[in-house]
Formats: sequence, C-alpha cells, structure tokens
Amino acid sequence: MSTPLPALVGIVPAAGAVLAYGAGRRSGRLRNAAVFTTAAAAFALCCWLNSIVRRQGAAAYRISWALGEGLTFHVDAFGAQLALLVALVWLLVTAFSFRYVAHEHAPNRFYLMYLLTFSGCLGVFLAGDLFTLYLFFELMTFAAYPLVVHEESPEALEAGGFYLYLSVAGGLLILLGAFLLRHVLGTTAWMPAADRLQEAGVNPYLLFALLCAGFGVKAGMLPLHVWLPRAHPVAPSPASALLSGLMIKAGAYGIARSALVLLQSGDAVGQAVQTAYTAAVGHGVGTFLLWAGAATMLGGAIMAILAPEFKKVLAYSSVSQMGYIIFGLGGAAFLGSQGGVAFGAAWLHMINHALFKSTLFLVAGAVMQHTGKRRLSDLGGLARQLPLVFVAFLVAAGGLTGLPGFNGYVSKTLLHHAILEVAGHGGGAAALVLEKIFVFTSGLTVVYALRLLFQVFLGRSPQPRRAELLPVSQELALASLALLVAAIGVAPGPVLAGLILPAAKGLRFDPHALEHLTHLSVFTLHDLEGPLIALGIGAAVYLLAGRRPVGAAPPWLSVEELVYRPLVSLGRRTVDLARALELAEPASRAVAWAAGLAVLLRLRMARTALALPFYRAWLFLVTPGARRTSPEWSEVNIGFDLLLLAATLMVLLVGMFYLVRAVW
Amino acid sequence: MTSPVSHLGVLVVIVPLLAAYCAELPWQAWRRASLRLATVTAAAVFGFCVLLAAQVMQKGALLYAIGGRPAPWGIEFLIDPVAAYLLLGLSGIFFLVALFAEDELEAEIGEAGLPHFSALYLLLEAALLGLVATNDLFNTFVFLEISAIAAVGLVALKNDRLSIEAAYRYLILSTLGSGAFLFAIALLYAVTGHLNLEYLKQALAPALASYPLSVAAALAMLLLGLMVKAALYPLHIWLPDAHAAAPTPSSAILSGVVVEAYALVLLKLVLHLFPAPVAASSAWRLPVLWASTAAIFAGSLAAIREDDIKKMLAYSTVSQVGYLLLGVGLLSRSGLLGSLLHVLNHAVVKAMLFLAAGAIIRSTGRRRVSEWQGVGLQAPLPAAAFAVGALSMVGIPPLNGFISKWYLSLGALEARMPLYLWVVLLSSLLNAAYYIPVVVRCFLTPARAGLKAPSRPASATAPLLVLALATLLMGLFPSVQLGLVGRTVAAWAAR
Amino acid sequence: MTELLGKLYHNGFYATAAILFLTGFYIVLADNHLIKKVIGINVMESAVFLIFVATGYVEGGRAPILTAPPGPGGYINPVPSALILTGIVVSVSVTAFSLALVSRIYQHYGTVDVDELARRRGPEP
Repeated sequence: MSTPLPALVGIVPAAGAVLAYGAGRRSGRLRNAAVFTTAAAAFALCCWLNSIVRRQGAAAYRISWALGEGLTFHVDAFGAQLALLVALVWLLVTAFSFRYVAHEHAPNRFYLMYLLTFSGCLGVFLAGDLFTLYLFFELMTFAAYPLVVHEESPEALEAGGFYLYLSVAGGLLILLGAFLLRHVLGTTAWMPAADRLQEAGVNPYLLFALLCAGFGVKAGMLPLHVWLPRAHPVAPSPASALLSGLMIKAGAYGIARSALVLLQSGDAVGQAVQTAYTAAVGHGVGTFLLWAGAATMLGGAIMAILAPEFKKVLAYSSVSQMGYIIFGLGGAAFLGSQGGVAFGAAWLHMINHALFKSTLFLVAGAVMQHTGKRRLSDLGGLARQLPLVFVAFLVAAGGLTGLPGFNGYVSKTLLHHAILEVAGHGGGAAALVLEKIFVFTSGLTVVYALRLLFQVFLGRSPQPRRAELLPVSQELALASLALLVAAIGVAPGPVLAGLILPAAKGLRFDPHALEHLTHLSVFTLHDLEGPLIALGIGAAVYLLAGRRPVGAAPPWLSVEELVYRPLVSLGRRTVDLARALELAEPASRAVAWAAGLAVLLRLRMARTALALPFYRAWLFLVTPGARRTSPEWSEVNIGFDLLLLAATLMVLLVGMFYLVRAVW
Repeated sequence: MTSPVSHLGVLVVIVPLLAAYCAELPWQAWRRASLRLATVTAAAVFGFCVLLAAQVMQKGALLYAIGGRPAPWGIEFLIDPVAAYLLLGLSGIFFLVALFAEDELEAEIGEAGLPHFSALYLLLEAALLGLVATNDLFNTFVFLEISAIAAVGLVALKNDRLSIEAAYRYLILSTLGSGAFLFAIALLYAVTGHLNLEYLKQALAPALASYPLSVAAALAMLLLGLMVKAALYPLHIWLPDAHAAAPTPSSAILSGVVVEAYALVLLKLVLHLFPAPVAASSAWRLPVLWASTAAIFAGSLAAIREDDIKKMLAYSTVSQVGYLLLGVGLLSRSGLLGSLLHVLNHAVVKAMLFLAAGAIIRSTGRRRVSEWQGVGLQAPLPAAAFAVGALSMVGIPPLNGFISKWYLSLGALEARMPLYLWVVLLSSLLNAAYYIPVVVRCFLTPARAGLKAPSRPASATAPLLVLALATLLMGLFPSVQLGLVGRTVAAWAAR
Repeated sequence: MTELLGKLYHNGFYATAAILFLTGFYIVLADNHLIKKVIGINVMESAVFLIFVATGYVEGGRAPILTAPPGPGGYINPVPSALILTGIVVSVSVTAFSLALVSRIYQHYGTVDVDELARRRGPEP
C-alpha cells in the first residue's frame, strides 16, 4: 500500500532536530520538551506504521523528484519492527539522557545531532532500495560523529577519526555495490537479483563482498571493528547506548538484506525461489558469515575480558554480540529455505542485544554520573549506593550471559539449534568446531559479566557516596528496559509468534521450518544445559585468571596494531614520498623519476650547454613560487622537465609536420 | 527583431562590457560606487539570463545574428538549453560574488584598486558569458583572450610580490595556450573555409576525408590550448599560485567560474564540432582520461599536505577539473551529464568555499588551516557555509557534489570502464581526507583564544546563504538541471 | 632534392611559420629574461598570423577593393586578413599587459632575470 507514512517517520526526527535546536537557544527545558515530544511522536508513528504493515503486509512510498534517482520507501515486517525497536529504545534513552546531558557542554549541539542520527537510523530500516538506504546510512554516520567526539578531548577526537574514516570508506563500498546493482538491474531495490547478476556476468560474491564489507564496518565485524571499542566508550553514555544498541544493527540489517534477499533468484513477480545456483551462493556466503561471526564473537569476548574500563568492556561485548548475530545470519544463508530458525535466532538476538546493551550502557552512564569514574579499578561497592541500577545491571547481565529467564537465553538457545541444523545439513565437522567456539564464547561472556559484577557493584567502595540521586526519569527508563529484557526471557512465545514469524515470512523461508520456530520450547532440559556449561566454563576461567586486574591488551591481540597502524603509516609514508618527489606537482615526478634519470644520462654531454639555462627558465614558468625555495636545482628535476618539454615540443612538431604534409 | 527582448542574447555580453568602461571613471568619489555598479550590472545580467532561459524553455534554442548579418558572414550567438543553463548559473555566481566583494574587497586591495577590480570583473563576465553563447570559432578565441587578460588582471590586483609573479606566469602560459588554440583555428579554416560552428561542423565531415591529418592536428592543438587554460594536469602548474594569491572574490570567480568555462568550451567544441569518428576516437579520449585521473589524485594529494587554506582550495580545483574532463573522456551519456552538471555544481561550491574561507580569514586573521580550532564559534555562518561546501566536495548526499559523482560513476559503467568508477570513489576518500578535518577543527575542537568576529552586513552573508542553499537544492532537485541539459547530452553521446 | 626545395619554396609561408612558431616557443620556455619571454610570445603569435593570412592568399591576387580591378589571380580572401587584424590587436594588448607586469616585477625585485629572481626571493616561509 502506498502511504507517505514511512517517509514521514524518517523525516519527523530531522524536523524535530531543527526545532529542538531553535528551542534550545531560548531555554533548555523547552529543548528537552521538544526532544522528548519528537521521540514520542516518532515512536507513535512507528506503532502506526507497524499496524499498517501487519494488516497489509507492506507499506511503500516513493518520492520521485528527489536526487534524480528518487527516494523509495518499502517497509515489510522485518523493517517495520526494527524501526519500532529503534523508536522504543530511543524514547527510553531520551528519557534517561536529560539529566546526564545537563552535566555536559553544548547540549544543543548534542540533541541536534542526536535527533538527526535518529532520523538516519530509522530511515535505514524503512528504505526500499539501496540508494535510499545509503542516504540515510550516511546521514546516520555523519550525524553520529559529533556525538562520538562530543567531549572534544584528544582521545575522543582520535577515536572519532577512526570512526569517521572507516565509516566513510564503508559507505563508499556500499555505494560501489549500489552502482553495480543499478547498472545491472536498472534499480537498486531490495529484490532477488542473483539470476540477473548471473545473466549479466557479474560475480554475486563481488557484490556481496562490497556490501558485506561496507555494512560490516558499521556492524563491527572483525577485522573492521577497530573503531567501535574506541568510539563507543568516549561518547556520552546515552549516545553510547544508542550507538552500541541500535546503530550497529543497521550494519547487521544491511548484511541480512544482502545475503538473504539480494542473493536469491526471483520468479516472475519478484518472489524469491530457491534454485541450485542460489543454494550454492548461499552456501558460500553462509560459510563465510558463520566463520566471520565466530571470529568476531570470540575476539570481542577476549578483548572484553582484557578491557580496563567499564564502557570499553561493554563496547567489546557489543563486538562479540554482533558476532552472534552475524553467525545467525550466516546460518540462515547457509541453510537456504530451511534457515528459518537461524534467521529467527539472529533477528531475536538483534532485539535482545539492543535491549540489554542499551540498559548496560545506561547503567554505565548512571555509574559515571554518580562517581565520575570510568576505570574498573576505581570502582566498587556500588550495589548498596545504587540499588535500582544494580538490579537493572543484574537483569541486563542475565540477558547478556544467556541465563534462563532473561531474553539472551532464548536467542542463544535458538542459535545453538541453528548451528546444529547447519551441522545436519552439510556443515560437517566444521560446524561442530563452530559449535564449540559458540559454547566457549558463551563461557567467556560469563567471565566479563562477572568481572563487571565484582569490580563495579560488589566489594568495597573506594569513594564516598555523592549527594545526587538518580531522578525518576532515569529510574523509569532503566526499569522499563530491564522489564523488557526479563519479559522476553520469561515468555518468549508471543515475541516469536508475533514478531519473528511475520518478519521471516517476508523473506523466503520454508513455512515448515518456521512452524518449527513457534512450537519450539526453549525450556527443555537439553537446552538448559547450554547456560550451565557456559556458567561452568565462565566460573572456571574467572576463578583461574579473571580476578586479577588487567592492564591494556597485549599488542599482538589487537587488530589495530597488526593491520591498521602499518597501513596508516604506509599511507603517510606514501604521501611523504610523493611529497619528496613532488609527485603532486608540478607533474607526476614519481613516475617520471626513472625516465628523467635515463634522459639525463643520455644528455650528460649536452647538459651544461643546453639544459642548464633552459631548465631554469622553464622551471620559472612551471614551478609555483612557494616551492622554489632555492635557486639550487636537483638533477632529477632537470631530467623530468626536459622530458615534459620534449613531449610538448613533440606534440607541436608532429602538428606542424601534419600541417605541412596536408597542405603540400 | 525590434523589441529589446529579442536582443537579450547579445545584451548579456554588451551590458557588462559597457559597464566595464564606466567603472574606470577617474573621480575619487566614484571608486566605491564603481563596485556598486558592478553589482547592479551583474544583477541586471542575471535578470537577462533568467528571461533568456525562460524564452529558451518556451521556444527552444535561440539563434541571434549580430548586426543582423546571418551566418556564415556575420557572427552568431546560439543559446541552446545547455547554454541557457550555464548562462543562468554563471551570471548568478557573478552576481553573488560581486555582492560579497562590496563588503570584503576594500580590506584586501584598498580603495584605489576598487575601480580596477570592477572593470576587470565586468570584462571577465562579458567574456565568459560570450564564450558560452557564441557560435563562432574566432569569436571564441577573442573571448578567450579577453577573459585571460581580465583574469590575470584580477590576480595581479593585490600588487604584492607573489600575486604579480603568479599573474605573469599565468599570462604567459595562458597565451601559449591561446597560441595553440589560434593555430587550431587556422588549420580548421584552411580545410573548411568556415568559422561558424554549424557550417564548420557540416564542412568538416567531407574535409576529414581529404585532410585527416590537418583535422587531427587541429584537434590536438585545440585540446592542448584549452587544457592549459582549463588547468588540466599536468598543465595546471600556473593555477595554485594564481588562485591562492588573488584577492578572495577574484579567487572565487577564477576557481569557480573561469576554469569551468574553459573546460566547457573544450567539451562543446570537441563534441559538437568534430565528426563522429574523430570525436569518439580513443586517441584523444585515453590521454584525457589519464590526465584527469592523474589530476584527481595529484590535486587531492597536494591539497592534503597544504596548510594554507586558499592554496588547499586551489589544489582542490585542480582535482575537480579532473572530474570535469573525466566525463568528457568517458563519452557516455551519464558521464557527459555528470560533467555538465559538475560544471555548475563545482562552480557554486567552489565559489562558496573561497568566499567562506575569505570571510573566515578576515574575521579571525588565520590563513592556516591548522589554526582553525573552534573557528565555527567565532564565525558561525562562514564556517557553516564552508562545512556545507566541504561535505559537497566529498560527495555526501544530498548535496550537489554527490549528484555529479553519481552520474560520473554511472557513466564509467556505461562506458564499460569500471576502472574509473574506482577512481571516482577512491578520490572521494582522498577529498574527505583534507576537507573533513577542517570541518571538524572548525566545529568540534575547543577554540583558541582569539578575536571576536565582527558582525557582518547582510551583503556579505547573503551570498554565502544563497550559495549554501543552492548547493542543497541542486542536490535535492537535479531533475531541473537534467531537464535542461539532458537532450543535448543524449545527442552528443549518440554520436 | 630540387623537387623538395621547390615544394619548400612554394609553401614558404608554412615552412617559415613552422620555424617561427618553434623559435618563439623555445624563447618563451628557455630564455631567462622576462621581457624576452614576452618577445617569444610575439614571435610565436606572428607565426600563427602568418599561417592564417597565408590561407587566404591567392597567387597574383589583389586586395578585394571592389572599385579596383582584380589581379591576374582574382581577389585574395579578405576574411583571414580581417580576423588577423583582430588577432594583432589582442596580441598587442597581451604584450602591453605582460610588459606592465614585468615592470612591476622589476619594482618588487629589482631584476627581470629568472635566476636572480629566485635568489632574491629566498625561501618562502
């Protein structure tokens, strides 16, 4: 059905941002009211959109005048529910944020960017084609940057630089993918495209690699995650909650769409059908995503254990949990039409992680607000000082570690089912290795959760209690998020039936496999083994090694040290070298260096007679004043400029020659 | 032919030309007023261009025979939709920059220089608009020379060591280019006996059969001459100094309009004039593509390491000229569209960047980018305009730079040269590497202790606002521009 | 050989123009003296003018003045001559302008020699 509602949902927060900024120049209270109203309005619109989508299957809208290509919105259940999740968490975090931001500088700028990011984030899930998605994705990227560097400290600026450059590069890869699609299909709509790609002779893996790398940056996929553990902790806590809870889901969503929609082949009406070709592509892509997810979850968990700060632990934990989601998506791609459970697991984990991770970041925010400290070694004994925060932490940590009764348990159990299905459908021994990684990582998750519990909330408190208590708005926000975490954990049935099923139906999973999803009881004895094993591993590791305070992670563990620093320094050195050879100007000397030398050798005899005066005069014309620092000249330059001159003369001579020939 | 409206086509050239003479009247009191004269004239010319564009939209291309003598004997102006589109854009920028100059210029060149500026400015406007409108090859040469002299004069206005030397170098190299261009005209005239572009085009096809080498040599000389003038790498050497040493309004016009106009003449002549086998020949397309690629990367690399803001922008112009000619070399429909859109997109953005940089330099006294911490708080409006321009240059949607890059990239795919898709996208990353840190430094780093910005009158802020708005609107509604230039481009690409 | 010389003779304008163009071009690029560079430009442009006018020349033709009788070859083509008049005017103004710039450079630096200029400016900050 065509309705302007999706476009409206995408635009309302942006309009609210401008309004709030204007209001903020008059008074802070007015601004806060505007911000909250905007978030509430967006939430209400998302609810409305959801009900429309539920009734009619999809909502679409097209603004054809914009940007030449036109903006296309197409919302199915998957997108609509994610948008609803975004709006809900955003609303709660907004309620929490007011008191927190009151301690910060430049609140007007913060809320301007905060709502613009909101707009971008919603738009990503509502976009009907890659082009529109890219626009909102970039809006999100750039609007979030001032949030990341809000503190304006050198540390924040450095983290922001990492974030920005990786994101811009990722955005360009997505754009490349969009060009490829546009060129082959004539449109960038989210529709099955594998057979058309095959006809056009475009390798589907190339398309997937471009999109996966582009979205993988946002999703924090190993080894593209380096910006995440730096950027998320330095932002103000409400912003970290949104960055870590919601924004990285945009990356996962993009990967899901590319792997599960684009790489299918469509029938006449665009409905996906499975063919041998797409099954093969799905196998390949799925295997890659499974391993990438496993690496990401394991690496993130290890780094989370080693991280010295509260919010850094949470940021690495986000990397690790995104690994679970990518893992689930990989399972879904691998299993093809049988991948209903795997997709449901990934999808549910997206919801769950958004809820418990934003809770945890808000907890960290409350702790910061209360103590002003961020290092774990400076914290302790806060359970008595902040009882409600402590309870919220316990609930969210329950979700994080996958304890029965909390939401993470459901999705992780489903993931476990999914990996066993992969093993049963041709995954073989490799799938069993993946299963072991999965279980072991769950154990490591327990380790860092325990570290947080003992170092922040239990033990002795190193500092006296501050006078300021949490205001009601913050307590309410924390309590609501924690309640949602617990509710999904206690009664997963309605969520599975009401949310996951419609979303999965929009993709092309076998109804039988989906049927399985709703009748699944996760509270069987067999499934309850999972968290027990994880707890066992976790407790053992924690007791053996985890209690000692840790310093910085060893450099050999850090992808940044291993890959990025060398790359960056190589880039710098290239620019320096180019500079030294004056690559940039007056002409590409780097290329001509060798050639110039050769010319020099041949001209050695004639040089003093001819080249010297010639060279200097030429140099005067071609070299910008500021560069000619001294009348001394190097032989390399002579060689090159002579070459350039000779080339110019050749052109002229040839022209004259032709002229004479022609007129004769 | 009697109503004044029917003479609009030539009025856009004649009015600024006459006003240029008036600007140099020798009275002391006239000095400041001459600047106002320039603004008013530019506004009037803009008005003519609006009327002209409306006429062209209604009735299609306008042909105007100067002095009532039809071609091939007289000189003709041809205002087709593409020309109308460019006239509109270029005269608009001339008007806005003049408005800005009224307030900013005196601080840079002193009161005595104002009449000279006004005269040269109007002369330049007349020449460039004539360049776009004329349908005669020799007339093109004359306008090229007038614009070269006026542009060099605008560089030399500051009258300090650097600008005089840069002006000299600019003049000599530009004249070399004109020499080559005139040579090409002589060759073409020798083989066809025509100078009117339409007649020339018809006569060239048979002439190509009898004198292929002459035609090829003419094409080579034409390209060489215009590449020097348009500053296509590696013939850009005069540009960074000249554009950086000129006073701010001059830099904005030189980087924003002059270079683009030359690139446009190249596009028009090569694609329109030469018969299909020559125009589509890879013998000139490949060198142009390589030179453009080198320009894009080398210009960006040089800009990354540049600390002087005006020089950084000048190097950025070097790389943007690469984009302009990349589409010409690709010669596919989308590529040409991208080039043609980029002419105006870049003109608007680069003019805005130079004006904003000039305003920031004036209110903070800091020319070095590394000292721009927190400038956004001291000069919020210029810094915001700079940010918009910078993001557009990087190619962030929905600003207009994104639109050009979108069409250029599609053009690369259409021409089956995906390599250049990578060129466009990788260079965006390079652009980001020097533009974004400046924006970040302006807005997101703690300010240094410094001067409080003087409040500036509306005449200086209005151009920045209008240009920033245009940057956004041209990005949001490219369909307007596409409608104007689309058909001509399709005709070119079909050849 | 004689044939070649004969051809050269018959196309003397073009050969001369070619030589002049390259000479001028060489002077512009190679000479250290700023004024000589301007002269080089002029020589180069003369070459182009020569070529242009030569295209309109008719062996034995007369200037196309209608009251005078045509020569044995008829009238010569007046268009190139007219164009070149314009070209000469342009060239004169460019020359004047560049000479003015040279004199300004001389005021600033006290020299018009390229090497000397670079030495006096010294390294830029």
